[in-house]
Amino acid sequence: MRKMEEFLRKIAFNIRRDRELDLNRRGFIASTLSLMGVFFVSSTPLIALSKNRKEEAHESEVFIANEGDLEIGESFSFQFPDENDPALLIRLSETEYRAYNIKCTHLMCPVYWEKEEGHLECPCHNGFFNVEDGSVIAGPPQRPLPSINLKRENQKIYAVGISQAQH
Amino acid sequence: MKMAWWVFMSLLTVQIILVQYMAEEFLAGHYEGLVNYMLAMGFMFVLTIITYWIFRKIDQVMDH
Repeated sequence: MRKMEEFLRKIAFNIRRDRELDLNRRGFIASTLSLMGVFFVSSTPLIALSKNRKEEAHESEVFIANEGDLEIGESFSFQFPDENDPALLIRLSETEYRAYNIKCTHLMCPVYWEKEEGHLECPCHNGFFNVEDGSVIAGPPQRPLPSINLKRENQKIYAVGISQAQH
Repeated sequence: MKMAWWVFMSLLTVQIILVQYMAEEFLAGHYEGLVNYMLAMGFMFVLTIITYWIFRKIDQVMDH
């Protein structure tokens, strides 16, 4: 009977002051200090990740076309940096080439090269882009087209990187 | 220590804002500024350590 009583006391008065977590104001401030440290340390993986991404971006160098393949004013479509990113190479003059990612920055419709007008046009909502730098001339898009950096070597044109539009 | 509580909360607020900004910069692909954010967070951490140390000293003096 006594054992039973002890057991009931034990489960009824179950607050053990000596085992309580001591989280008064001082304890809380100390834990804040460690939280600050955790935040700081957790920022370092982002730096490492961004370094990796940068290296990946620099590594890819994709052959697009030979210089003679394109007439002045003609365009050539290709994929860069991977298969799901359609891009367009445009020859403006004897020595000038431009390449852009052709997903419209409005709703990702494919932009095409309007040779007569001399600009890039999105047929979905009539967005117009400047062929010189990819900036928006008119229409609903708010941001310029991402431009692809080109490298010319031995009469061949390579895509070496992509400059994201700053927004 | 009441004052310390408020000081620490403000320091923590700044740190949380920095974390949020850094994450946004990372997701937007602007990797150039990330190092500055990390340095800023390191600075805030050091500042917090110094503040904590000062308040502990004050505590000890008050206990005497």
